[in-house]
Amino acid sequence: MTNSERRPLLILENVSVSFPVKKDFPFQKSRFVRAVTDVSLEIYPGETFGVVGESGCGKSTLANTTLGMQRVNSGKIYFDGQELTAMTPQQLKQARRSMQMIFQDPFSSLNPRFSVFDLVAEPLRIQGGYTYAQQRAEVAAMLHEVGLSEGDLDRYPSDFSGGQKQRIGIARALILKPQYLVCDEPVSALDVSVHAQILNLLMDLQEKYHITYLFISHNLAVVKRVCDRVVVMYLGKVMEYGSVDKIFRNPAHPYTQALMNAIFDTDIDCTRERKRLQGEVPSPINPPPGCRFCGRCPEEQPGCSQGEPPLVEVEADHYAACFLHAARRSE
Amino acid sequence: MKKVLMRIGCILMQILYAIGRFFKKLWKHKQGRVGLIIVGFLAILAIFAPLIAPYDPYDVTQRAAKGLLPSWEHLLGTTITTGQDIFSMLIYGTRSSLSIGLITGIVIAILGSLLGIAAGYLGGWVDTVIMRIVDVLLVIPTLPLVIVMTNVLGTSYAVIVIVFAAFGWTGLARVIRSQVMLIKNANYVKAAELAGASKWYIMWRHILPAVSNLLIMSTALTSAGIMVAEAGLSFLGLGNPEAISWGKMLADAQSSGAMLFGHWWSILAPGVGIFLSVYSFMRIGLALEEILNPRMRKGSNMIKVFKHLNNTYLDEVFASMDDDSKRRGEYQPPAANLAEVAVTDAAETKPQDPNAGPAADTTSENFEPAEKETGETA
Repeated sequence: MTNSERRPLLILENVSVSFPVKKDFPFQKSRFVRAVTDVSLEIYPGETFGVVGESGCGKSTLANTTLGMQRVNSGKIYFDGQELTAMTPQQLKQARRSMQMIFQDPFSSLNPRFSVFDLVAEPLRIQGGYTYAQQRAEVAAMLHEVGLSEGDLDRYPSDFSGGQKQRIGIARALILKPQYLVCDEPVSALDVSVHAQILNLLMDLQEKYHITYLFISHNLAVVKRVCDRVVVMYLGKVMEYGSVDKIFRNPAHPYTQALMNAIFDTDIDCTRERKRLQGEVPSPINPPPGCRFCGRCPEEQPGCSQGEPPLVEVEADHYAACFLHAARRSE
Repeated sequence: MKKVLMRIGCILMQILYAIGRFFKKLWKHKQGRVGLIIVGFLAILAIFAPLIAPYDPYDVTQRAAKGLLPSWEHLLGTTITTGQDIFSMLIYGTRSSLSIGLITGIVIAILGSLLGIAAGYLGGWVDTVIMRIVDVLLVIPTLPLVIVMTNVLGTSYAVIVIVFAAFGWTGLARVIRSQVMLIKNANYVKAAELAGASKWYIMWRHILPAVSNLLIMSTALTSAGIMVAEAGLSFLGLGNPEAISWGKMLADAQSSGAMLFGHWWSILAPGVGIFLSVYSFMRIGLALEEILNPRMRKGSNMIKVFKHLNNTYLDEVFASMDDDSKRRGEYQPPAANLAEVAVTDAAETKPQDPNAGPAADTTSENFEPAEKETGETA
């Protein structure tokens, strides 16, 4: 089944988010951190959509905007056909039933004063309409689903290990049976030995409940394993976008190529030539003119700082925002 | 109706549970237990005062019993001018002291937590307005204001409570606000928002429990402060003239010349009362501070703190003074050490001297470095 036949669950149309920077002195010209600039995406039901990029490239802000937690400065977001950016608080509360999130750090995302039952049942209570017995049953079933037992209901988060806490977080996120789940680096705070368990659990649950995942990660190996399609972001802009297989086999954008080069190899004797990126990520307050990757790009050309490169189709279901491909396209 | 009652019952249960858990923690703390026992003792005295007190302390008609010395009939004697039983007055005095302290403390806790949480969590203009009010109130001295207000509105406990509460919440609100600003960024608050929780829900279920410990601690400490203030005001004649309080007992004893007659017990007794109540509340407050603030746990004993200061800080101060005076040339080393200083100075300058070889060294007074150097060159 190709994507064009399906109706997307989530559509982002030219979404931009910027945060005002605190002024150093009054009457200073107001400045903004452009966290997300002009991002357009479509996420299809049942798929795992990866978001990849360095720290500070706007991954988490993008995720928050798709959840309606972050006001957008411009652009529109449609969730399941409804315009998320134009919802009233009451509608948003209704919509929250079908969108949830798993946090990176299971230690701070669970209130240490709540028992496991209280934690997992909290979304049920907030949404209302469940008796205590129903809550109890739902929570017990969900705990069983994520690999915990009913005996854990009345224990506290401090009694659990990192992996188990993340399971509690997953149970909590899934208790309302959402259609759409944001996984904000769900395994990066955990021991490496637990990574695979949690990822497998997420994939099993996806199969069972047909959930759409937005999977944020900076671990490319995990993304390759888990995701169907992926977007590579840099300084708030989409650099490359398309199916995981195509992007990993044939990275079109120099930034993606650099990321692929940086994948850590377990082969110590590996003599593969690494292209290292020079310099630091520029400040998102003053992004470089033209292509955002200017100045660090190994294949920079004189024209690169002139205008922003358009997102062009490199091959089917594979887009890149680079003048290299824009030029090739127009020939 | 039934639902509302159920809701209120649930809330009360939650509060009781939190307080109960807290007292359990406090009981485990050695210093806190002392405070708890004294407060419990005082509370029993206050509640059952009519049963415990042997005489009616308000009875000022005992002309025959004026100025009696302590005896088995009057454990602490009677007052010089009115013949009231001092022991009974002491017991009744617990009531005014504890009730003023606790009521004001609790009102301050409620005001401070409400406004602090609102300012911290809601932010924006709510925060700005509340914090500007705090700034204004903080610079107004409370005690002189209470004195003025009692002159204007008459001397009653209500005035004292209202004025202290109206001006006392500011410090607490500031502390709570800063704490709330930390908590509101926690991921579990975000998770609750994500589940569709209202601001009220988050403030009640997530933020208030997180600052409740802080709240109880500050209530204990402010109560102690208010008790002292109440005693002081009563001593000045600005308390409730009809009530019996320790401050007023002190004032009466002084004005009737208790010291002149040698009735020291009539001064000591209320003094001990004030001391015990304030001490116990302070003890509890400080114990809570230690329980809450792990960094303070090690220096629980004041003597330990002073010892630590003696050993490290003062030594450092003296050392730095020495260095400074040496640098300025004021420092005169004691005569016995003069030679030593000269020698070490010489030893330090020697290696820089290109002409002074190992051979020259052996002729000088200082042998050790020379031997070492020859040993190394050999």
